[in-house]
Amino acid sequence: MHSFTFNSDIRIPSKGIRNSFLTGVLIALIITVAIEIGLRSHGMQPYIQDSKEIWAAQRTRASALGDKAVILVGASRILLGINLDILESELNLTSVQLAINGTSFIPVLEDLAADPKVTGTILVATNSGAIKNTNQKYKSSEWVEFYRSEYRGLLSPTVERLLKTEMAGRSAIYSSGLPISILLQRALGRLPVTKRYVKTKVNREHNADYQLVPQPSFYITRVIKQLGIKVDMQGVTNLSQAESRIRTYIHFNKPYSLRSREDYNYINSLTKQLEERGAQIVFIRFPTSGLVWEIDKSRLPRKFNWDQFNKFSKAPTIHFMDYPALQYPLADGSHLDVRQKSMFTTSLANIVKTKLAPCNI
Amino acid sequence: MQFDSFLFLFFFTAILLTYYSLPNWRAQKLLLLIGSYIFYAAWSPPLVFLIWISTIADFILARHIYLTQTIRIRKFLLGLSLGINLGLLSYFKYAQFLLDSFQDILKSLGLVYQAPDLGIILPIGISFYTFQTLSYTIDVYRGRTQPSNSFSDFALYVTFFPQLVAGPIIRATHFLPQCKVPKRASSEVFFWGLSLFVYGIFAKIVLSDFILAPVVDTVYAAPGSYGWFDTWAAIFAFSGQIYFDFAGYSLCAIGAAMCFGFHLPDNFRSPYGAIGFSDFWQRWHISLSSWLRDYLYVSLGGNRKGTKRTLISLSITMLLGGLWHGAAWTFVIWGGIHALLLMIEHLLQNSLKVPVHRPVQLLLTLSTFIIISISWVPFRAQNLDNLFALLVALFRGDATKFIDPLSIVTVFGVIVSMLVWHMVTRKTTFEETVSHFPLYIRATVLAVFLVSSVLCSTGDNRAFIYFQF
Repeated sequence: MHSFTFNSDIRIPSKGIRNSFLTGVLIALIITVAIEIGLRSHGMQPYIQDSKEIWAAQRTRASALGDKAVILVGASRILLGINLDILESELNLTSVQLAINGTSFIPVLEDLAADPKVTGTILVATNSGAIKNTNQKYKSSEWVEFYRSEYRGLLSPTVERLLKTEMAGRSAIYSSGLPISILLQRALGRLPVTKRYVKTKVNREHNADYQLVPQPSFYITRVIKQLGIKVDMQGVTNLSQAESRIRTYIHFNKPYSLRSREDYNYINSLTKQLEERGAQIVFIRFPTSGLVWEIDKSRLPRKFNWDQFNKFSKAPTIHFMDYPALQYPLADGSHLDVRQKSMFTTSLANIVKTKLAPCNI
Repeated sequence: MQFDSFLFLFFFTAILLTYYSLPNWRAQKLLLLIGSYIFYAAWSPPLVFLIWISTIADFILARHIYLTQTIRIRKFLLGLSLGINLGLLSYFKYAQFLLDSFQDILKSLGLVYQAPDLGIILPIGISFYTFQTLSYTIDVYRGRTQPSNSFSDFALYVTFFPQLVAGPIIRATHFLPQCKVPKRASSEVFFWGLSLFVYGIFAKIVLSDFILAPVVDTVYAAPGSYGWFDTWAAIFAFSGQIYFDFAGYSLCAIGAAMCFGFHLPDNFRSPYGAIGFSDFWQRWHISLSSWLRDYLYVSLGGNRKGTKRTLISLSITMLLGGLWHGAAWTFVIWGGIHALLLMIEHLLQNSLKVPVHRPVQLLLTLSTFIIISISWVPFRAQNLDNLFALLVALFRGDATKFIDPLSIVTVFGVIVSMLVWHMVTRKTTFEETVSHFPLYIRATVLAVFLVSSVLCSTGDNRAFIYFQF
């Protein structure tokens, strides 16, 4: 048996290395555990955070499932509005959630159109204002680029994603994604922990529980955000006053410039690429309500926008106003609550079935 | 597989436990070899074949070079090795760049040519392991070392996972003798290896990614919007970012190797404490600069054939060194700037005698740091337009966007601390410096590094900058 020798080339500091390392690790462990306990005791629980890595995993499924997939594309409305299990059972297909919060759907649709393995059914949530052919870079462009260059076909990102998701589900520190100063203040109870009203599952299903948010301030904030201009709310004390104040601003709203034929043609070219290899695509205008819907109507009058898109689109379209079963009073005027989405999904799936070719149902 | 990933944590722990439970040296080396292939394959399994091609080719060719007496055949075999290694490197790293550059040249002449998108994925670490295998074959050709008798030892030299993807670029003469004698890390060496790993992770996650990178990214993304102050802050921040990123990686690599009882050479020695540019290159990415010196600069004539030849050798070495970092004209410009700086220094050093007074040294160190920082601009810029926009922004008085004051203060705090540390430690080793601190300070520092690394690692991991090279 060989006798081992210690490598004499290796430089090390003078004695005490083992003790200093072990003591340091012990201190670090105690501090970390204390912060974790502090966060949890103040109401901060571990949760899964949506990320480009989780998205990339779903994007991989979209290719792998082929014509067995129903792929959801869009932004927050379809992200929060669809119960994936119900959609699966209604359409007898496997759901893949590819919507990305707060960004354009175009880069995702371009990516799907460019991938010959994508042959499933694609439901795209959009309003007519988002339909445009542009070279602008969006958050969705970044996620698609990540999938293409740093995820697709590579092994370690896939395994790392699984480990990260597992860790996020177990550690409040890790899953928070917060800056250190805020994290520590929350652990010490100096900053209140806001309850998360949106929860994400590993399959990227998002559930919004609007009973956890303060109303009507949440709704009013959402409406003002949608309006995109500063509203003078001085002297406003209740919801009806707030609504009438905001309405005065809506009247100043000018309609958006109309989409061009080139924009519609571009979307049609993507649709054609997909349909030529057997994929089907449906464009859906998801519900909005209250002042958000009023803002939408003033900016994008349906007659000159959605109806024009419907007229030129090679793919079928669904507008929520044409179907009473898709119309809901929404807590923030823009997104479905977790309690509404099951019924909504069933209704939408039944309408989608009527739009799809028989072989896909 | 990144060092700052959960996957590596599991992998490293598993390899370490198995390594120390195996009964003999041969089995331990075999484990490291298999582990290294798994480490590489975890990124993209098919690309392991490329490493096998380089490994097998150089093992066989070096043996034949050693056994052959005929000079012409030896030269042919060396040429074959260079052709295989540099051919693979050129295809994977430079083919698309050459086609795109050809397209740009034709476009400037008014001719239309659409370069095809070759869709080449750059195999991670190819620049590093190619240089390692080349150095082995050239050393055998030059008679500086004998070829390895053990294929598995040689394969381990090429693929040893702690340094496989981003160095330090080790020489066969340094590594292969370590494979001959069975050894393991003593407990002090083992825990010092782990300590270095923690220091490296802290440098990467906290200093580079969390503190400095956001400022750099923000300004480089829209250089037209920021004024001179924020732009200078971003430039200094990048000097820190790239140092903490790469030196952090190197520390992790050296520490991880140490845990198995292997010694890897230093890659950084207080580089921003350098006085002058040749001094900088003896402290920055030492394994690459010494490789370029020994196998390129010397081969081109070095300083043995007069001043003119020296300057030409310097220029070619630095330009190719720039291109080694990436297939883009911005890297060539970066290499060109350093060639120019080294040439000027070379011409001046005989005529100018620098006084050894401390204030003068301090001034020279700061001047070196500022010029080096400016030279990083082409290195970091996404393209030539971005580069010029950044240079213009260095002198812009008006601004439409501003970096928040806390970030600026933090950046300058880190950069000044780094400079002071490098100046103080420029003549000592890291280990000597650490030896001066008592146990409780070392333990506290390690704990702070660990906790802050945990708290700062809640977002997406950034790849190590040198992974792309």
